[in-house]
Amino acid sequence: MVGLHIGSPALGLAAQAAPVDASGATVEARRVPPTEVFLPDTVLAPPGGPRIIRLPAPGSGLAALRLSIAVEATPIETSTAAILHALGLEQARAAALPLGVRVGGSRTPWGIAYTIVGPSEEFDYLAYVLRQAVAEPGPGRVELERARARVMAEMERVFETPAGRLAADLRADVVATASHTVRATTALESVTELTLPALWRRIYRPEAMSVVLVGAVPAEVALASLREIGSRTTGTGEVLDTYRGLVETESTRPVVLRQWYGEARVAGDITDPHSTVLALLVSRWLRELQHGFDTSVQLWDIGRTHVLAVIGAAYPSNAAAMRRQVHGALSEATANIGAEILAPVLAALRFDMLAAARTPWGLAMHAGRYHDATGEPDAGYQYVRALDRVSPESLYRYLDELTARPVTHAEVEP
Amino acid sequence: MRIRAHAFKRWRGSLVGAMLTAWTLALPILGAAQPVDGYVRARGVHVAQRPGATLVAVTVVIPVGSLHDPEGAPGTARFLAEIIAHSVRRRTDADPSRLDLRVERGWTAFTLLSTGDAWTRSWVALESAMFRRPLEDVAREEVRTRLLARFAFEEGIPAHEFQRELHRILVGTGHPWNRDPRAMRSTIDAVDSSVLEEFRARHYVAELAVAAVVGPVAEQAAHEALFPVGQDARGAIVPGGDPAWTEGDRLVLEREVTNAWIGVFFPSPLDQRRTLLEFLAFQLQDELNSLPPDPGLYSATVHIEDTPRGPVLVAQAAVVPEASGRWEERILRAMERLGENDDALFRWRRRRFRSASLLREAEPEATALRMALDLVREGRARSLPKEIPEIDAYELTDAVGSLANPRILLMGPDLPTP
Repeated sequence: MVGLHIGSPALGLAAQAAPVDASGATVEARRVPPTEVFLPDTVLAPPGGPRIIRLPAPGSGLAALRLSIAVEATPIETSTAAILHALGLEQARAAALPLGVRVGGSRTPWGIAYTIVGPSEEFDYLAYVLRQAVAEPGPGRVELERARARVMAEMERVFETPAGRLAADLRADVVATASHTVRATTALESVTELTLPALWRRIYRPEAMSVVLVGAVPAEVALASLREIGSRTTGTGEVLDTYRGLVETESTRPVVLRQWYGEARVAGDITDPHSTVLALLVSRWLRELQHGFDTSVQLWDIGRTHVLAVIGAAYPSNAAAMRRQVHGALSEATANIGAEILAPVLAALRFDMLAAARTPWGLAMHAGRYHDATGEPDAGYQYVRALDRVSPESLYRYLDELTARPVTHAEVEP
Repeated sequence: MRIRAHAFKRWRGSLVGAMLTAWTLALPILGAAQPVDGYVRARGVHVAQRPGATLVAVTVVIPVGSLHDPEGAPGTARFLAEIIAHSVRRRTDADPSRLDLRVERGWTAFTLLSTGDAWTRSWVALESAMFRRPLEDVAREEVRTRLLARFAFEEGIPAHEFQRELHRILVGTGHPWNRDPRAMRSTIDAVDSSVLEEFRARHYVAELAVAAVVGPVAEQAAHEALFPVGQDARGAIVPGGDPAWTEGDRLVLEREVTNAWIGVFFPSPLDQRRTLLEFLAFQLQDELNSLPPDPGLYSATVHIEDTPRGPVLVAQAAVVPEASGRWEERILRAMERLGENDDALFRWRRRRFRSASLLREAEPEATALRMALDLVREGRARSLPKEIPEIDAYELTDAVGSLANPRILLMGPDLPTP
């Protein structure tokens, strides 16, 4: 049986046929406040998956399906999932071609995701394209090698530059589970067309899948179309055994001309917008300074945690000043934060978020990202609401907690 | 069932129609705006509600472009628009909004993207900068510096020469429509504020502009906020008649560059339905970019140019020089094939077109710009989700048949003779 949970009774369970205005846009009697657009109206959680989360977002005539698969943060799973993802993306793009449906895919900090977008009335076709994305890959060796080469290039790209190397070292120090990226390249080389089907069965399990549906398609229709998705069998322990004991290969050494230095710290839960606000404040502060060296701020998603990093690069003559700036960035950028400074930062963040979600696929990505991180269907909505509550006082309380946490340092020398 | 057109039939109609312009001879709509439902609804403003959108997009189209630049000061339209946009961005820096600008040959479009609770405030900043507030000296000088720096980077690009020749072919040598909307260095360098203010006073008139609003807005509130924009908007008069030219032509420009450019231009009758023409452009582009990709092709695009003499379907391809002859032929044959429609094939093509239209207009600002340009061109905003399914195979075949003989432009090294 299907478990049914209604996230927001106010918006109703299923989309009804709505009137259309002169422009073809669907018109509903009540306009939806922008924040409410982020609130799911239906969550279906059938036993065995996949979970389906619907956001109605009326008016565009499009439907977006974003399917994500949670992947364990181990070298084997990460590298295999990357290959399967690349193969699935090719299969989906081929299937989407006849109707010009939009296909996207990304590897996320929590696993992998596919997004399919097209007219709502072509929903059956969209579901078919999505099924193709997660279908068991064919036995083609050429396709496998092509996917492997592409994934390997992406992984190596991180380590080719000092900035990538520094970031990877910081991540590995801050959160232990983030250290797999280096070792994943070794596992990547070991995947063959013989082991791939078993790995697919292990990773592409419906219970590990979530689908965010944006558009005027009832969630039940989506569930009916996607019930048989992915692998229905499990058990690949033997295959995984073959990967145990793999030795890490020498990873690419970057060419380094300047001194690189970075500091990072756990910046709180991903649904807490204070870390994003702080990152933007620090970024603006750094941009206004011109000292003959480069500095930047980065915010990483790791599990359901944000990690805030400040990174700098300088030639030896400026290295000491650069280190001082990186070290003092948080305290100096937030020295005198009042409402007049915070307001434009909050407005800019809010606008960027609303702008990213102005398309069905953007909204699906927002909702899917926060769901993937937390497992909560309305986490994206909660984040939007929390952003409206940020004030100078709440920011200073957050800073007090943040500065009490340990700081991780890393550097890359020429 | 198969339907076939005799493509590129000889056009024997009067040339009088071709001399009329849907754009520059537009006549005012008769009568003032009338109160509707207790408020004044302008003919030149369209509001499309998207209740689930997160942002509001407002596009204002001013009926002025490089076509209207003063003699001896090409680029005035663009310089002025850039200054206005720059000062709005400075004033709304703290607002949750974004302003995009496009200056073309016959129009200038400002597109504001903003949150539902702030769009009227940002709109006031844009409206006053366009129609009321004097131009700011600081903004003018900052824009001047930025544009001059960009000129240094852009000058001497072969693709620009191809574009210049392309537009010369479309309307003939010496026509003011041929002026490059990117402007001229001499104008940016020398034009002073009195010229700019005078130009603005003549062309930036709120009542003559048109606007489209798309997003989670109430129609009445949007009309009230935009008043008096569009109150006296000139609805384009579609004369009905001949395409821009009837005789085909072929121009070859030998240039020692690394690739060849091909342009094939199909003029359409002035009263051709826009959605049908867009469908044709979409299909031709699809045909030219079929899979597997042609190894000799860098890029192939198709778009509609609204010339003063009517719409022209412009197919362009950048190819390796040795493939230029083959590609010229391929474009011509592809258009002929579009006149042969099998019912099932037609329905499939129409689904593809509908899908592409919806995806293209998923962003509210794309819909707002398209609707505002609809208002300029034909005095109404089209509903593509309604119009596309109404197209039938016969109409498409007729549309191909109604195109006059194409003009062709080739530029590159060692080009083939016909």
